[in-house]
Amino acid sequence: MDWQALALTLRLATVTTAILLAVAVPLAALLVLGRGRWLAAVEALASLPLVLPPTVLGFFLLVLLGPRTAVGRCITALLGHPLAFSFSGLVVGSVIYSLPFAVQPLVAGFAAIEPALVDGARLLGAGSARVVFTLLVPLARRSLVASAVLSFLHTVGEFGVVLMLGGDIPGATRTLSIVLYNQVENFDYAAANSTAAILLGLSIVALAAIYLTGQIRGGRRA
Amino acid sequence: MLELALNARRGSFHLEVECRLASDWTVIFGHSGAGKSTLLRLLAGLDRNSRGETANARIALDGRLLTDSASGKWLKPGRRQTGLVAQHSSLFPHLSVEANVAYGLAGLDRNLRATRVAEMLELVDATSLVNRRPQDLSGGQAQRVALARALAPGPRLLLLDEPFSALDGTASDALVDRLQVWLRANSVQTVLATHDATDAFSTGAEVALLREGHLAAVGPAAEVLQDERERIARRLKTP
Amino acid sequence: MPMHGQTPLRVAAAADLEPVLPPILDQFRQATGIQAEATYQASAMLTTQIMNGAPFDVFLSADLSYPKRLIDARLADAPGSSTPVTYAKGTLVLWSRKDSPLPPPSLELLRNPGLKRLAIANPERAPYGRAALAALTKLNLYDALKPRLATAENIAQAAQFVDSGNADAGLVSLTSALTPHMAASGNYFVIPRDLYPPIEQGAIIVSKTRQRAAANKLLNYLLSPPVQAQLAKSGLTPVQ
Repeated sequence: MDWQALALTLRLATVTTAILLAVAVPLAALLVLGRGRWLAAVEALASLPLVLPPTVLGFFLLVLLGPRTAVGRCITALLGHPLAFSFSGLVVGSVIYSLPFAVQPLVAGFAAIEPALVDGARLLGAGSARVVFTLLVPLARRSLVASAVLSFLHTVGEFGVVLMLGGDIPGATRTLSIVLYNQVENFDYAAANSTAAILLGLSIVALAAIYLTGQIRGGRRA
Repeated sequence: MLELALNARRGSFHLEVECRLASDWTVIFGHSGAGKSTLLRLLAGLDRNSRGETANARIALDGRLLTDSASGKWLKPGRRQTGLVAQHSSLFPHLSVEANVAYGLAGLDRNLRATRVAEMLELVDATSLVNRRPQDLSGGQAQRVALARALAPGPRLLLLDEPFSALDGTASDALVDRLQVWLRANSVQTVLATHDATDAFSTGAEVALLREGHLAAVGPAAEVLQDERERIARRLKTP
Repeated sequence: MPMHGQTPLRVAAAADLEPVLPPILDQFRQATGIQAEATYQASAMLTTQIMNGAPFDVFLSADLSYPKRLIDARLADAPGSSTPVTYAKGTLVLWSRKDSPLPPPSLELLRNPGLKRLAIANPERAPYGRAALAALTKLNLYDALKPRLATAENIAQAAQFVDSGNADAGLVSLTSALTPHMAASGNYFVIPRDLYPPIEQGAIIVSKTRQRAAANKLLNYLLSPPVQAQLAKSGLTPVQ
């Protein structure tokens, strides 16, 4: 059992989920509360990674954000190293790739909140930030959990992006799914079975978490 | 004093109203679909720029411009010193009654806030409800709390959209009397929209009659609602 | 002209043959009328696929161990032999971009502290990766370079890591270094052969092929002197 890979995978998923929640809550609020045609474009962009092949995303990060482009050179200067072959590179890739999984449950949850409640809050002087944090977020708790868990799970299972720009570096980019892939490719099926079991176990635990929060809050409408 | 000149379209519905409301208690009377809610929402500054709607509006409260399409001015709902209580109380379900009433008092320090909340709850006779949750309130109780919440920040204009439908008769009368005294003492102008003529008559207000988006008449209840009174009387006579 | 109704000969070819094989297969068709189609992937992956029934007729691996695995599993055989037929020898080179701020590739470059990232193919399963590991170990540089390695799935990806600027240099195959793009944008240095065990590239015929005759013809063609000379020009050392 590759404990280092497991720890790395969990760390990657946690960091990615934290960043995603910080990004997705304001973004979802904007999509639900805002007005203007340009928002449709924003929503489409936020959903793009759903249909983006991971190889395309990997290519984008490897080449277009690599040290040979101007943007890439800025990033390299900022980070001290290129995006590729680094934990930070994986975080960037994971955040982009799991963005729709974070945003969409929140949009659904926020949109289900009675507009009259938002009107009421605004009339009582609440600005957008206060509306989001004192009204939308507490009332869409289930969506928040779903958003967090789905982002986490999606990152745990991520493979294509990591393969494209990871470089298989233990402790930095050798995630559990890469370990599994290596084990299969090396014909080590016994080890592969164990690794697959761990990944499956993580998924089951996380999904159970979503359903449990559903039960506890069951019956109470947002 | 409320001055308004509105010209708004919602799909095929056209609201066109121009008047000056000087009375401190005005009733907008109209049957359903007449445009009462639309009018109140525009006064509150809500529904700005929704698709499919165009609004030319000029709204001034005590000489202060709240909305002016011509100059592009449209104060946000929270900046208009306007409170709104609708038919559905819309209390925040995850907050207690106390937290609901205190919501608009975020700028006050804790003690002042507590005092104000107590004052408001007493005004609407809901002091005993202070720690309850909205789900545990009856319709009438929720309406009273909603009223307290809207008045807590000290608005200068209070908009009521058929809010008394949930309250039972005698309690409602007592409440309205007490309310009117308080509102007058605190210089709050009230506009109440209703389709219930008894509300118009009982409060002895100035009445604006709204029909299909247009003002048919403005004046004392006895005059403006004469037809309405006769209609009710006829129906009461029928066995 | 291909014979009417005949399915093409399916060739599983190691990644390092991608720059090299297509013109040879064209010539083969012109000479014999047999249409051969190749798929280029890492030898390990092709082996797995053949093990799971992929319909290849011929497997041209980048080493001997993978085809041998298939022979042991009775899924393949080599004409007239129980071991794979060596059709070429691979050459390991160190490659870096022309516009790299570091000195041109040489053994010294491997010792240069400015070499922050070295790309290699996966030593666990890519033949050129194994060779890279062997060479670095023989040079006593493996421990020093280990934290700076970027491990790619195959030499093509290793080359891509260097080409995109993410790695400073890479240990790749001579065949990839000689491709037009790489030749134009970078320089290579041949790693001395005594630093790593020879990369003998072996071929086998998949047992359940329905085109054994054609498969045999292809192998013989590959081993013929003119084709071997051609392979040499592209970076694969002939067997003779």
